[in-house]
Amino acid sequence: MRYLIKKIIVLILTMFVISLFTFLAFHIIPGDPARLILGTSASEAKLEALRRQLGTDLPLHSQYINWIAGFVRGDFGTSIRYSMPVKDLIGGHVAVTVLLGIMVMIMTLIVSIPLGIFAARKRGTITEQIIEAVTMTGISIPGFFLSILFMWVFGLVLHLFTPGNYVSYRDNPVGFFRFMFFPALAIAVPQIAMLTKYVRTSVLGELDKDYVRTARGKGSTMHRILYGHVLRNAIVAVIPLIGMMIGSIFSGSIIVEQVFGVPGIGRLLIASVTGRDFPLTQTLVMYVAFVIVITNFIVDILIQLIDPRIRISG
Amino acid sequence: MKRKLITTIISFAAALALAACGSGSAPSASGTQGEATAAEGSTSGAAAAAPDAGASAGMQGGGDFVYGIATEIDNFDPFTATTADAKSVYFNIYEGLVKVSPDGTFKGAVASDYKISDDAKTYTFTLRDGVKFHNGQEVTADDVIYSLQHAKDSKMTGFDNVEDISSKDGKTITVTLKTGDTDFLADASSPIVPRDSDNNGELAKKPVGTGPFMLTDYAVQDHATLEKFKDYWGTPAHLDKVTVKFIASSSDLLMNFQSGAIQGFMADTSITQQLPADSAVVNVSNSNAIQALYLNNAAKPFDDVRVRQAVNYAVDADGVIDTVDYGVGTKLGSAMIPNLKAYYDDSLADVYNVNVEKAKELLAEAGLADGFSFTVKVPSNYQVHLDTAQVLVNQLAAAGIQMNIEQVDWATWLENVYTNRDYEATIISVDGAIASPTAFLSRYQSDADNNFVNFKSDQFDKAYAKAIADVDESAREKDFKECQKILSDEAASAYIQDIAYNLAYTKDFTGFVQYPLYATDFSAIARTAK
Repeated sequence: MRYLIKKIIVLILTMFVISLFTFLAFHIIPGDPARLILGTSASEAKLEALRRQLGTDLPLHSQYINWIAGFVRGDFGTSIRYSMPVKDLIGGHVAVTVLLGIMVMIMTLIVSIPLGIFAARKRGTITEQIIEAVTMTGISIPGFFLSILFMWVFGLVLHLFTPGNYVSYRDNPVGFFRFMFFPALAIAVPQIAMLTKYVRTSVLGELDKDYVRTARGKGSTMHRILYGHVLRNAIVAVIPLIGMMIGSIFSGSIIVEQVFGVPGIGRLLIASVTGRDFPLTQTLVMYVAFVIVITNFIVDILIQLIDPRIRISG
Repeated sequence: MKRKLITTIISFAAALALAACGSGSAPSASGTQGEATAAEGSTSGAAAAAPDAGASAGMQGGGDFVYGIATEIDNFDPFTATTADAKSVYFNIYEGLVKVSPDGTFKGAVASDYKISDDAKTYTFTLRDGVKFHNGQEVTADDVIYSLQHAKDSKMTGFDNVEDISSKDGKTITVTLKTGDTDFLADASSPIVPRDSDNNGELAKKPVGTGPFMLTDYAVQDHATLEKFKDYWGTPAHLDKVTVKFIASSSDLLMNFQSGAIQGFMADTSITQQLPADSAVVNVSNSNAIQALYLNNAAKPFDDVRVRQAVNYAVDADGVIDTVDYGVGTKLGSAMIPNLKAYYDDSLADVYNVNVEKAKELLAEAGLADGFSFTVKVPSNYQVHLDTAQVLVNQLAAAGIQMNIEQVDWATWLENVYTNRDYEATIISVDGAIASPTAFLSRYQSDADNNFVNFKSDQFDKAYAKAIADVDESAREKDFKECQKILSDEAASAYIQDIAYNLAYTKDFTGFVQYPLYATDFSAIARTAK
């Protein structure tokens, strides 16, 4: 219980610090939202009128205080760029990115865990070398390159989907998943590569331990040792990595959503920054931070459940 | 730079894909020369426009059109949203008392007729019978008065001069100005909306106008749907529905078009030229904006007219047009768009033909015999300006001028360059808020808020004041040409071109009308008759 309270306090502090950083970043970069909305042909009088209407004529620190005062009451403010409540604006976008993230997670787990174990079992063979080379390539390829490559190969050449023709999950769930398969794959590839490598290393590390030799000496089959003992221990080492993957998936989705034209929160975040839309950026950053902190919290608990020997200091 | 990189990668990916399937059928991003329709179109634009809407054979009514746009439209309130792309779309939704015609003149829209008093102080508009809003209500004099008053309250261009708006009989509306202004007719194209419909900016999300299309659906970062307005007073639209899809960036337009996700888009020639030869119809038109190497007249050494002239002699506009825009574009020598035909002085384009020797002479006179160096700030979201900068670096180097390029993001550009005027030089296309010569020339008055080049000339100020006071049309035309000549003589900046901006669509569509304004007229587009 004490642990839980401490964790929650840390969570609130983390989010506050993050919001402060976002605020400071906005302080440093130049840009006037009213001018962005009205363009170069607007008169100074018109700009001032709009600034007053948007509340951007106030000093930025007042804007921050107003925003945070609203935030704690559950009012996320009004988007400057889209002139609608942030709450209404992000709802649909969050669902898209969360579904995307879940697809990436599933793809990553069902591919990399078996592949990592397989690679470990093939230690010292040419197969392991090939897997090693492929995973290194997978980690190194930038997300935007993969996205463009997928659009060409799967979209324009093989016609497995229509690039740019995003289908809403509300209108057509099947069409949505068909379209989203490729953006998800583009985010998943580096994650799969990384996790495969990690699982392999982790399994190999376990295989070198004394208990494995003892089990072998007792006459256990390799199969039994691997799935009965080694895997369980190896997975515990892998779970923290899954927590960290959430962050990578979010940052991957920012680029991939932009390239594939998926209206998720990654793309919305870019639009909010280029539009200098302070309330929207703040809320999105808060949201992402919250998800990452919470998932890591859940991961901590999971580890403890799987292996009670690991004590979480509290 | 980024788009170049992406294009390179696409070509590479295409090469891989081609190698993999061993066939030549896949479209290549850079391969075909694309002699297409784009290259042969008239660069001055109007001649390349397809026949007028309504009258043409080869069209059939009905059908849907999916149009891609690289800037997201986030606001349909015509009194606050004035980004060029938003305007180009809501041109179809809203109309004013008058509306600009393709030839640059203004014709009645919500008003059937108008009268201007001899001193250009009193404008009388007669309301057209039976004009309806998208919500089904008929337009009344009250709606018009509200709309014009709202335009005044929203500080729309030209409305600060409005003294009084009134209607005696509910049929005519009289606008009285403080001082005579023949240009107010252009301002009277300001949108007419239902009374009290925009007191709190409600139109931003639920636009109601009188235009040939009405907005029926909108999703943030995804699309806006326009449907044909059945009760439109004028020539009805051919298409039943236009879906405007928001594409993340202009480099993605091409891929979306090739995949079939969109059926048409507008882009500059560097993009439309990449379309495979017979996959699309390309309607060449002007962007109606003035691209120049804008020089900060208050910054050294550009405060010296000889240095500015030297830069003008070193810059080869034709070279830019050939290299960056495949030879399609209209060379300019001053700040007026060719589509405002009556006011445009085409002789100025050839005043500063390339002359490196002359440039060096002028620099020597200014005490810069060894040349000089400066930094140009270019907004990174405009590939065409970045490419132009690359070409100019070489041209200027020939005259001993070293230009360094600094890329800045759009918001930073607006703040530092445009608003704070903290720069030496920049490359941008400047557009006009309305189809009027004042929209392009007013910023060069010494004390203008938006005089971001810091141009100062008493001669210009006098000439401009005379131009806007002149009521006689032919005198006005002469005055505005005089203003352009002063900008050229004083080398206010190094003017380059009116960039060609082309509407491309699949062969299933036809029809296109160009205006002296950045607008995409969907009512002129129709499906090709089968």
